Amino acid sequence: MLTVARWEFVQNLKSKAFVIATFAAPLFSLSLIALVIWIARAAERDGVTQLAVLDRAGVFTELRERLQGSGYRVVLFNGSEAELPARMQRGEFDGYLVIESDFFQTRQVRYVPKPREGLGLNIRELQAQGVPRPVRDALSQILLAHSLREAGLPPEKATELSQGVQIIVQAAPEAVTEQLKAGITIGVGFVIILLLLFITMNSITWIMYGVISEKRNRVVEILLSSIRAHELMTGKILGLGGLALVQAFIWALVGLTLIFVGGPYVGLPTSVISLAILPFLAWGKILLYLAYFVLGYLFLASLTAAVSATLSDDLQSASSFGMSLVFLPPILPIMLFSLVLRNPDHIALKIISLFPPSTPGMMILRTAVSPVPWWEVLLSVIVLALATYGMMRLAGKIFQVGILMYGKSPTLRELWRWVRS
Amino acid sequence: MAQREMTTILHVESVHKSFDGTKAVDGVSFTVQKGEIFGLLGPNGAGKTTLIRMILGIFQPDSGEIRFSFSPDGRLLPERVGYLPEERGLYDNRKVCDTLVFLAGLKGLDARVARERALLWLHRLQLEKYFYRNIRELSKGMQQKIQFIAAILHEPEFVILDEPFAGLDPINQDLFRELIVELKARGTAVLLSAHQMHLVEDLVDRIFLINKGRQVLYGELREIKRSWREDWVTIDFRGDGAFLKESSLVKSAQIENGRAQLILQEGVRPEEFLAALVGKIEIEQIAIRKPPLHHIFVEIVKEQK
Repeated sequence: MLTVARWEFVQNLKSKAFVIATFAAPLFSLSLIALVIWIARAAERDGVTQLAVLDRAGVFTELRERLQGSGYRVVLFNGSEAELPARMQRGEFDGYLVIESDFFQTRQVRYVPKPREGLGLNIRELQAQGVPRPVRDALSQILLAHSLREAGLPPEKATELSQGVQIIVQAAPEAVTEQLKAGITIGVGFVIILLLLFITMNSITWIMYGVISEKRNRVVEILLSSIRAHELMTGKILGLGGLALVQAFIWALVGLTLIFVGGPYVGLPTSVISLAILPFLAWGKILLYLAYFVLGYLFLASLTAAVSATLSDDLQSASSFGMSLVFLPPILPIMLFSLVLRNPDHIALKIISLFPPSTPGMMILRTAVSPVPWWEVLLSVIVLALATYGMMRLAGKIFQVGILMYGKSPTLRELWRWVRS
Repeated sequence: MAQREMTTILHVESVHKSFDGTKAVDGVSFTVQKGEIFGLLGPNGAGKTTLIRMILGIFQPDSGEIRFSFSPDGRLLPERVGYLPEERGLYDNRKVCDTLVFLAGLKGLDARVARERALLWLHRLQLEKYFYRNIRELSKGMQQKIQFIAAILHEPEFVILDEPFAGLDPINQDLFRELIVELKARGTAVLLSAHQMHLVEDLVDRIFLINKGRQVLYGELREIKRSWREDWVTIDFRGDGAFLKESSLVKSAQIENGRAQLILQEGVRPEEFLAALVGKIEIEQIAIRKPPLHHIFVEIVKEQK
């Protein structure tokens, strides 16, 4: 059994598929994320919206000064108004203002934004749409300063009094941090489930392909002359489970490194994240999650081995109805994530918590979101443990007969007979 | 016979096995001795593979007993048995060396020893340059050799070869024969299963003929042949051979272009028949022999019906 476990572990560890799945695939998705962030940043950087100003009231200099640091830059336009639309269309600026000489009387300016192109997702173009608020504020201030000067105030005083309100953005107070922390704690719970689910899914996919190909290439005949069928099955489950653990460990390590080393550069609140991870590092929780994971994995893995052994010996049938039955229940908790957030004690969720293939995901999610009564936790572990024991025995029997049946899949009645014999 | 009994390695006693009410093996008993090549012969679907799977402990018999003499309680010890299944196959995306070491490891052989022996065997079969290669790079014939090595690398006392000649070209058939004879010489008990009897007739010491799960014939091949009631005669001759057809010594005759193929009446001794030929035809060559095993098998099955 250990020979099989080691063989499956080492051989698959060396395989191209594993290396790709472990390193290349996450690297690819990470670089995609990095690319998106980079594009967003780049867009932000040259996100200064340029507006042309046809100034007939002589306020340009003041407007330019008041718009400094606002994300809008104004340029003085000395031609005729008729040229403006065409030059804007060429991309020289993102919109234009016409300030007539009677500005101080009418208190009006005209603003023409550049029409959006394509999907209209360009940040500068978006910023140019509608009434640009900083520009409106600056013009209002100019009007006020002008009125104050008219009323006889010295110019410096008038300028000073016309300054608008400045809002200083500060770090959030304790309560908000707490809320953020709670949110991240739920997020971390979610990520843990995703990771465990990934391990399980990866590993049972390997089991499935391994069993079907051993059945197809008939190696199973030689194997069964050396070891019993249930030893073969258990060896596979252990070896490939260990392999999936290694993969998850690598991912977790890389992920944590990225968050805590690279995180600060992209503005992640790393200190809050570490506070949020802390509750997961309690021994009780680790042991509980480990129990859920190990039991859940053994349950699904033996079910997979049994189902794969009964599939007719071609890889096509791997995508069959039988396999979707194996894959669906474990991801149920993920699909119900929003319901768990809104109402973690919903009766439907309690029932699903006791449905063995869904138990680990649902319980980890629920305990991350809100406290769950201890007896419910205990009950779910006991039910899962009993179900896993039963499933392993059942799967062993089905595996033993199914693996040597070539060419056709058994009917349900045949399956029942194998189990009873 | 007493000496034989001492070296019996496998006892099969009144073994029965049914699948869904169909009797696959129906009351079969035999023994296999150390250092002999034992032929388990019969047509496809006769129950050979089921029987082999029971011997290997893959199936349990419904009733009857299978005992090995190398363990005190008669249990199968997988590490002392080798198996070449009829359904051939190997991992296609694994290396030759890894596969051999793994399969030997299942038989409890240390990885280092397994590697050394595997190299020796590959060298012997001129496959040494494939040691680190992927199995899918090998031809079908090469893969069969690898499977053969896998069956014997742990030097088992008892080897089961299920249809070892299936799919082999004549050159490799001869090579496999040579290897099987070598196993026997080393004292290994070889159970050879085949449905093409002519391929193994000159190889096996004792046979068990099976049809529809039941014994048809069991015993020493030479003895079975010797005691078979009819002789087959082939004569190349000059002269008029027409009298052969009428002879009371001859059961059936086919005569064409100076060649006669005859089956003698039951109980007719060869010398009796030879005496009847004297002075009637000029004999160029003559061969008197027992019919091939296949014919004996067919005749007995016919009679049993």
